[in-house]
Amino acid sequence: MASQAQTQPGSLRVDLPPDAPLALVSADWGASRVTARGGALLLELHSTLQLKNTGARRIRAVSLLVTAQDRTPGGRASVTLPSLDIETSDTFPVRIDLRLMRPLQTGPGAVVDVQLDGILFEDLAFYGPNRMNTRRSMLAWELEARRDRKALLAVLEHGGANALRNERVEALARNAAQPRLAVQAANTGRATAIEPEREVTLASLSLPATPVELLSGTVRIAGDEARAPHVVLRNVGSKPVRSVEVLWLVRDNQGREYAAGSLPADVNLAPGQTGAASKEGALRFSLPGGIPASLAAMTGFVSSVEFSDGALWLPSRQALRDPRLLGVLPPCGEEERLMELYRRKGLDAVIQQLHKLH
Amino acid sequence: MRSDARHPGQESLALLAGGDLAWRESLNARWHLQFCPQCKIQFEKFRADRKELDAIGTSDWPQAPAGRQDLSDPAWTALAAEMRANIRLGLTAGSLASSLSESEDGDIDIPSPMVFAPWRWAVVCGALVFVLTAGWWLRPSGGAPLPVASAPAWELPMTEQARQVAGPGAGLQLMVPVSNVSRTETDFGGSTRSRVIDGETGQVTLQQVYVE
Repeated sequence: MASQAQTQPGSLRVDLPPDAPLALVSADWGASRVTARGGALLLELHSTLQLKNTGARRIRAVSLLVTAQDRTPGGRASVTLPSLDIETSDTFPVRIDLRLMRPLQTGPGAVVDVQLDGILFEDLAFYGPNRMNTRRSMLAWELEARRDRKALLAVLEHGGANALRNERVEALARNAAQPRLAVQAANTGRATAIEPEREVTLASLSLPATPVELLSGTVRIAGDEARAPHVVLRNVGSKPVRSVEVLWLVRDNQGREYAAGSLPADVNLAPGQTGAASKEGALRFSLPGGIPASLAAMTGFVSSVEFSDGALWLPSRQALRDPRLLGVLPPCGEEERLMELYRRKGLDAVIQQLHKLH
Repeated sequence: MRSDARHPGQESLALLAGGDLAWRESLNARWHLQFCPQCKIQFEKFRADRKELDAIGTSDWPQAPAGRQDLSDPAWTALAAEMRANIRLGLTAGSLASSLSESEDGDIDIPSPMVFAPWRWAVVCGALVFVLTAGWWLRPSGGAPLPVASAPAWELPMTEQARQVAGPGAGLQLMVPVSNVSRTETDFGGSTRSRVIDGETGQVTLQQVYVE
């Protein structure tokens, strides 16, 4: 199979490797627009790609890398489709909705390149260059999805359709009642000169069976901004660890708690080893309506661990049912997908998915 | 009446009674009504409710601005899907409430939408009128493409050098179709990701913009 490249008049290109078990069937750029704005180009990408599984294995997730300016912050994006079930020779759509502003092009080449970053198969094998480490996120989604579908299937088998329906309605109600906090990356650290900045010691929450413990940490808080988190982690498991993700809970001055952001960190910890991770980035938190949140405290916990051999640890569903987390943490991706499927299509559609992806 | 895959759902009968069911489903449902007395009774009840509703009149409804009389197909599709989802949720919540009250007496185990008291139908119809009115009032202008958030989910941080070269706002930005359920997250590394779920197909799309 020859390299599959499709270059449009606006220089939007899809380029898949010749040996990829995925083929481009069509690329519809119809709703995309390119507009000149002074010395720059404004590109609004609204594309639907039709891809085909040309391999022998079922595909569970696909990730595409969209590159506009490789060396510029914000010049790269990924579009990932998890929770797929694509058989050999089946086609499926991939929707891309991105906006890009860039200098008027001076050299040759496409304005925007769409390339394959990875494919996750049913047997959890992976194919692709994995430039943006999408293997980890796709694998985490798939493992979480299997865990949650298994739990829902158990509800169905033990309590019947009524029990599953009650569970879905409860999940919808819980999701609707969940407090939300908008989180933005702040550009240059502190944006407020009125509130004094202070260093706050992180409270740590340890989930059962975690292979990495959050020993201590600090974060600098000023008004609605938190920045420069620093955490000390210890590998308490038996396998070397490559990376971890720490999730944050934020408490405001009213005592309300919210889930707010994460800190992904490459740590490389041998068993028993202690190491630190930190970021210079800053996050700004606001309440609905854009009202700045007044931060009082932060809690962190290790939400996933990637081992050196590529395996992943994720908390159990029961651990996430901890009363402190249950009303605060957003539902996992598959949980939310099945919730929306129930809302739109009803219980039969959910049961069909549970049986199909079992 | 217990829900059965061969019977049209409650929401389909409600939409059929109002003339809002898609033509293909409408044909199937009408064919089914020829042979199913249970569904026929249910359908007639919906139709009677509809007539009562029509009798109340719509003179107090908000009028559409001039020149915006027609819904575009994508907007109507999104609105219809949302209406259907809300009707389904209303019916489910009603049947759960019904189930709870009946089980306290120990008589009935299976919730039945047929035992709704008249005031419950009035509540359902009232909610339907509200959804229709709100949908009509808030619809986009005719002929517009599928609505897309006019503002990006997040403005990317820019180095001063890049800002000088490219002007403000350079870099990729996430755009989330407002008709779908979405969630946007940001991490301390500066990357922003959105999770968009198409409720009709169940397909999830994760988009992430990287700054490192």
